[in-house]
This record gives sequence, structure tokens and C-alpha cells, in this order.
Amino acid sequence: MDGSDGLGCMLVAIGYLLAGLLLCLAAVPVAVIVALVFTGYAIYLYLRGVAAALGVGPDDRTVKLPEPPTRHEDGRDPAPPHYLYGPALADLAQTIREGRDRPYRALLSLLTKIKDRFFDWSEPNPLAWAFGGCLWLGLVLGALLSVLTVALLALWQLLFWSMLAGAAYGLIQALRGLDALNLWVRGIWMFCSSTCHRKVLFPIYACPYCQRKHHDVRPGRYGVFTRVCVCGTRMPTLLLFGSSQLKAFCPRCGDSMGDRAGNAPEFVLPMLGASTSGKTRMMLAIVRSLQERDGLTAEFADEVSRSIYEKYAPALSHGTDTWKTVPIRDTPLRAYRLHLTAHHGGRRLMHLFDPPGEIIETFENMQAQGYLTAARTFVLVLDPLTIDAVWWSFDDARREELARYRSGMSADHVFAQVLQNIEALGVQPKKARLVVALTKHDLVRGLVAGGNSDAVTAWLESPKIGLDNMVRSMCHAFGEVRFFRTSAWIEDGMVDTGIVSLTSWILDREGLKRTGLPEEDL
Amino acid sequence: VSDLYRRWRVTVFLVTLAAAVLFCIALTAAVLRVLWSAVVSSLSLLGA
Repeated sequence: MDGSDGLGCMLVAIGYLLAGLLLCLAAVPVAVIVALVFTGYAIYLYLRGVAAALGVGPDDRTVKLPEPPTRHEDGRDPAPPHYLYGPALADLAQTIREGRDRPYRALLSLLTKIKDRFFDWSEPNPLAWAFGGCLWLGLVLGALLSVLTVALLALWQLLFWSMLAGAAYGLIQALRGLDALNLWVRGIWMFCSSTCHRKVLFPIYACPYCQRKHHDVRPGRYGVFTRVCVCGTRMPTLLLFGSSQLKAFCPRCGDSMGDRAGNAPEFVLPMLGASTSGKTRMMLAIVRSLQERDGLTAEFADEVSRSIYEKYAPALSHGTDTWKTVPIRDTPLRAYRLHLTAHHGGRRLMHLFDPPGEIIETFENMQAQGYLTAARTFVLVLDPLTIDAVWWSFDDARREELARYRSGMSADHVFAQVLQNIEALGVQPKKARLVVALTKHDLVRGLVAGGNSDAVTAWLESPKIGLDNMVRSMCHAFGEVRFFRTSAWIEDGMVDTGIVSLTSWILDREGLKRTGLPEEDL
Repeated sequence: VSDLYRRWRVTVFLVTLAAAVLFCIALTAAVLRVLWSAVVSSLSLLGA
């Protein structure tokens, strides 16, 4: 080896040393820059993954959600769940999958490329190894940083969803509470007067478009303010938002609850009395009186009530017989439902029951009349023809003529049966009102005292009539008692004043004030 | 059904995007701050 070779070797060594020194100085900034660039790229890939998982942009990789049932089954309504109740969690899982996989695949690909490019073991190249090492170091740092970043972003997403779900849950509970408070303040409860005769907390509502039934439309997993039926129609979730405009059905018996159920306070008005005491005619007269009254609008809440009234109401003015209400075994009594709107304010839904007279004879029959437990006012229909003093005041010919109109049970016996049976049903008469109607005034004109409740009471208590015990029992048993002399006969197109007074008194007590009768008559 | 959730999904994506942008800004600011500190330290060392 000569001197020039030694110098050459030394220069190469110095060159390598300087290159190594420069590489060492550059390694940290290069690694940091690579790490930052890769982190930015990973965030970009994560966002692309999130976009694909959420269906934003052309690359749609949204998770396939289960289709809602086409009708109510297994406790599920025919409506897709609200986004925050199910789909959000599925989307979160999908965004994590898509957002995690893309940066990971990119990292593996880059590492492989660096390995292939800078670490060719067949041709040893320390400079390439050193540079490749810097890049690897940068990528590993970037991977750690991007894992941290992506994890923080996913955490933020989870937090955001949780906040929304928490806020929605709070809103749902608040709305439910507000609706319950609204119903309580307005005194609204719903009543099934079709079949099961029970109070209903939450009716089933039908979709206004496809008529599919939704069992619980209140704010919940299917929506906060509205829910979407499987057919695409939006339905309000609360009475506050107009669910009373939907067709309501009883959740127990499935029968219709009439139009606009839950829109107004409801009251049940049973008309009790013996067979042939004139309950049905009086019910028709009450409906006519309500329809003709100034200051009040009465509308039928269902077609059945309307058609029955329209069929039989002419009998009131023609003098023809109405039908006899007969008990049908195992067939529940259906109420006649009317929406009453006072022009001075106030609305009510009236359920008017006209049970057959035979039901008061036995407790078993009365027990089937579940609506009695929901009534606050009872109308007791008494036939004055059953009062001996009245009956025997007619001559033989007239008695023979009137025999077909005469009820078979005496007035005091009817009251005793009614009181005994409703008490056995759990009704507290002291908290209820009793309206006593002495019917058929058109047949006994001049024989029954009238004018006002006191006059009728005095007449009943008189020694001639001898029903003072019954009147005392009534006043003792019930919280409030009123007596009326009525006739269902329509004369000169006018409803009997006794019927007008009776309905006015009932409406007044049910909270519909000033509906056509002076205060002093109430 | 998916169309029903579109508005929600776009909202969630925009919120995530906003968070990512904010995070990137914060990260860049932190890195620049560190680099600036390093430059200042180097200059003061050279000056000394």
C-alpha cells in the first residue's frame, strides 16, 4: 500500500463520518416531519373512513340496519327507531371499523415500501439503511401519534353521541312529564266506552295514511316530537303535539275510542232505571237538547252513535216507539259519544250509556257494567206510572191504555237496587251526583208536580205519594241530588224544559258553565 | 330507512370533521411552538 492509497482511504472514512454526522443531525427533524405528515394523512384517512361509514360522499359503506316490522309484533311498533336509539351505535361501530382500518392499511403499505426501497440486503448501502431507518422511525412515531389522535376523535364522537342521546332522553322524559301534567291540570283521562269500559292511559293510534297501529306513540325510541310510520308518514307523539287528531283504539279490547280522544276531559253518564221507564227516549231527548242548545256545539264522536240517533230521533216527535234495549249475553254495552264544546270555552267528551233495565235486577248483571265505576253523575230514570197514587188516579180505560207503557218495578225498589249494586261495585255514592228524572210527563200531565227540584222533592215526600223514605235515602247516600220532571215528547219542535234543565245541570256540574240556562235555574 | 337518518349522519360527520380540523390546528400550533423554542434556544446558545 502506498501513501496515496492511505490518503484515499482516510478521505473516504472522513466522508462517511461527515455523512453519518449529517444524518444523525437530520434524523430527528426528518423523523418528526415524517411523523407529522403521516399523522395528518392518518387523520385524512380516518375522516374518509368516517364519511364512508356515514354514507357521506361517493364511497357508501353504511352499515345495513334491520328493517322495522310491517305491523306491531314482539313489542315493536311498525316504525324505524330514532337515530339515537340503535342506529347511532351501529354507525359508531362502523366508523371505528372504517376509520381504524384505512390508516392501518396505509401504515403497513408504507413500511413495506420503505423496506423494499431502502433495505436491499443484496447491495449493502449504509446511507440508504440510515435514511430508511429515519423514515421507519418517523412512521412509527406517526403511527403512535395517529393512534392517539384517532382514538381522541373517536372518543369525541362517542361523547357527542352520548351527549345527544342523553339530551334526547332528558327531553323525552321532560315531554312525557309535561304531557302528564297537562292532562292532570286539564282533568283529562281517556275512557274506552266501546267494549272494556275502563280508563285508558295510552291508547293505540293508527297511522293516518296506512292505518297501521302504533301501540305507544309517546316520545321514546321511535321519536321525540314525531315518529315515522313504516309507510313514511309522520305521526305526533303527544296529545300536546296533536296526537288526538289520530284515530285512537283501546289497548285492551282494540275497539275504536272515537274521534279526537284525549282532546278534552271526558265524563261518563249512565242512565239507570227499570225496563220501560223511558231511558232510551230520554237519552234521545237529551242528545237533541244538547244539539239545539244556544252556546253549545254537540257533535257525535263516532259514526255508530250518529247513525243510531238519526234512525230513532224522529220517534220523539212522531210518537212512535223506540227500540227496547235488550241485554245481549257477553256483548258489552256501547256508549253514545258526543263532543260538547261550550262557546264560552270548555270542551267535554260525553259517554252516554243506556243499559237495559234488566241489568239492575241482579248484581251479576251490574258487575258487567264497568263504566259505572268511572261515572261521577248517575241519572236515575223513574216511571211515575209505577207510583200507586198516580196510577190509580186514572180510570180503567186509561189504565188499560197506559199499561203497555208502565214499568214493572216500583220507584223505591229501582233506587234500592241501583244503590246496592253500585256500592257493591266499589262506587262511593257520597262522592257522586244523582239526577232523578221522573219521566213520561206527557202521559201524566197535571199529576206530577214540577217547576224545580224542590217542588218535585216536596211532591215525592208528600203523604199522598209516600216516597219520603226514598228521597231521604237518596239525599243521605249521594253527595248531591236533583229531581226533574221530564218528557221525551217533542212538542212544536221544542224539547221539554225538564230535559233542558236536567242537561244544563249535568253540564254545569261537569264543568261546562253557561250553556244556555240561567244561573238561578242551576 | 337509511334516508331517514341521512341528516343525522351528515351532522355527525360535520361535527367529527370540525373536531379533526380543530385537533390538527392545535397539533400544528404545538409543534410550531416546540420548534420555535428550539430555534430560540439555539440562537441564544450561539450568542453566548
